[in-house]
Amino acid sequence: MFMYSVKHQRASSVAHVCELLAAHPDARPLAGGQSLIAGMKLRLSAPSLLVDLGGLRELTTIQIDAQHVTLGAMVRHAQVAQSEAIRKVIPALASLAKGIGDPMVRNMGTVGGSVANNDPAADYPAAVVALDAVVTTTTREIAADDFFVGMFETALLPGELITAVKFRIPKRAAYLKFKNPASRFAMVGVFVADFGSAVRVAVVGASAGVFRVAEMERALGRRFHAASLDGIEVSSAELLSDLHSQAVYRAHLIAVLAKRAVQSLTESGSKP
Amino acid sequence: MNDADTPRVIATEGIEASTVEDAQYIGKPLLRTEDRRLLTGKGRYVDDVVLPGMAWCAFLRSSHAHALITRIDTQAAREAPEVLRVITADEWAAADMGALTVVHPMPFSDGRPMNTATRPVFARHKVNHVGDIIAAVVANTREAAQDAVELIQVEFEELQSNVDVAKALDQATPLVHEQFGSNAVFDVRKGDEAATRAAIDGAHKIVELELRSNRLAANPIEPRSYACSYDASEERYTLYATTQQPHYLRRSLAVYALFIPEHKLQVIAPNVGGSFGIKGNFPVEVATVVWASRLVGRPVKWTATRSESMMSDTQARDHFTKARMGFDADGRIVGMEVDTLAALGGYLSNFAPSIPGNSYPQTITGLYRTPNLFFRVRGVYTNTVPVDAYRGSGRPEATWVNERLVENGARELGIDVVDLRKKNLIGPQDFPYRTLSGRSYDSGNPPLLLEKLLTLSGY
Repeated sequence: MFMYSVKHQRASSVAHVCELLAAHPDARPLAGGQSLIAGMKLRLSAPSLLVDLGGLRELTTIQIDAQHVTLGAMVRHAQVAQSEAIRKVIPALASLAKGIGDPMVRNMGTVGGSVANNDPAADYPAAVVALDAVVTTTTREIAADDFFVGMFETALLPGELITAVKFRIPKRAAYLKFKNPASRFAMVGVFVADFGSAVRVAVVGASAGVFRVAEMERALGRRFHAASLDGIEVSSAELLSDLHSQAVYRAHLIAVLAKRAVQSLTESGSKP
Repeated sequence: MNDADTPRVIATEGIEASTVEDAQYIGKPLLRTEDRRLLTGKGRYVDDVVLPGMAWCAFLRSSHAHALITRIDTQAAREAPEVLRVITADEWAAADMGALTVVHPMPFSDGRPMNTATRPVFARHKVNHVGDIIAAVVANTREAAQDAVELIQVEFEELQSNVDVAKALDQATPLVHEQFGSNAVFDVRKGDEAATRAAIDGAHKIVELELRSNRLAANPIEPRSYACSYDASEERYTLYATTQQPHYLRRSLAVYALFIPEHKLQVIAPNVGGSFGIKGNFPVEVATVVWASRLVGRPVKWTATRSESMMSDTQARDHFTKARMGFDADGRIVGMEVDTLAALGGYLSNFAPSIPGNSYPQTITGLYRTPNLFFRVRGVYTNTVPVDAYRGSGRPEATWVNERLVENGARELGIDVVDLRKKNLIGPQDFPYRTLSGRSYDSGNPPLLLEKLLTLSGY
């Protein structure tokens, strides 16, 4: 299809982005464009102005310290997938990025774009929530648990731009997803992160947005072993039923994938 | 072929299986004459055709499966920048233009003709499937045409829709075409019903199945596209079309839709980027593109978007079948009974009725000796995209039903699935073999083929 007529402006700095967004209420920041452009081509989205973040080098850095991996908002999925440093400290994050879409999507798509878009089947929200991340914006810091509000909805206010996402480095973590064989989006994705003191389990693809499974977190917190998840059932009441799967099947997949994720971290010799 | 010295072996009748193996072409890659052109990016498809002064056509399509059109207001679209023309069912009818056509009709078994509702070029008063065309806009650019389509105001009165083939003939199901008093298109029966039922009911083992052959979309990589220019001084059209059958398309357009002499229309079919059958029929948009080129006095093109392909290219299959097969204690087939409902969509596309009505039952007994057969096939209207020929058109659906019955029979009798098939296969001595479904097989050796398959697959 053909998008509506739209203006395009390349931003020269983050401050410039803020100026443009403030001056044009219908403007949208353009990161990798992997959802926004497709939506525009289907005429589902009609911004008056695209504020192109492509030239903002300051948003493309990867910083790693003892406790955190901080990704600039414009870091591409392929960069994360290929980063030796990230693979060393949070291999699950690199493998999550490597499993997004196809090479074209990974070369263009960005962490900031994915998180801001909050597609219920996107992978990154699982990492943000399970790795207890902090989303840094032009005006504030937002904790992961407060960031994702609903389907394609976040705590971001008009004119507010994500500049970085800071992930906590866990003791160990794994992300497994059951891919829709056609689109390769997650029909269900489960991210399990063990911080020693606590375990976080985040699920994407299964409902209107990413959510945590408290019962699994408590069970794994007591003993980090697949057997700890025996008998824990996720209610299908709030899960999606669509062309691809019934809610009960998604509920079943959550339990299966969570177990396999834990197994991959506890069985000797296996790496996530 | 550059190897001109090698003698050509041409497969003819009576050829032995061993000779086929040594043949020059079978199982070997062949360089086709078009390969060099296509592989070096020199292919030319209809969408590559750019004619001087070419305008673009875009269509307003129904987003409802079933609805009455109570009002169409095209004024804003007509007044939009770059727009050359807006066409609706009224303009089409006022010009006394035709519709698409159906060939090879299927009757009712009592002799009544089928209930024919051909696919209109523009839906009039009522839409019968998502994607049904309500209006067309011709504009200077593709974008302007698309923008203007959105300015057309249509008021609908939504109706209950009928999309499940299995329920299409139920009393409570809404009618797609009320004038027929039923959603039935045709009702074909063949074979001795009483004898077949008796044979199956008295069989050692009866297998019963309910099967759905799902609806599918062919979805070729190259979307359908038409570009047409009109030469007023010669009253002659030149049409570039994505088509497998240019002569058929020319005839259909000239005779049924545009009412022009055939020799006034030239159809050029450049490279085709996949079709699987759907570029073989007379499709819905092309008549508008051709007519529009005369109306605006400039070449006009339309290329389907992927979304349009999904709701306007003819689709296929969509059967619901109840079938039974009886076996004797040795696993020999004693009878087969098939009752199929086949959805044909909101209207009949060209070949639609004959695919389930004729091609499908002809191969329903496959390669197995079937001493008793009764089948009934009913074509039905549903509020879905019209179906037409797609890969094998009818025969794969038949093979699916037949092989599922045979396979289940073997499993339920505890006989090896290969042994049971061997027992029932038509032997080389049986040819020519006349099936009860109406086909006559001239030659063949099914047991040898099965042996070969078993060897190749390592079964």
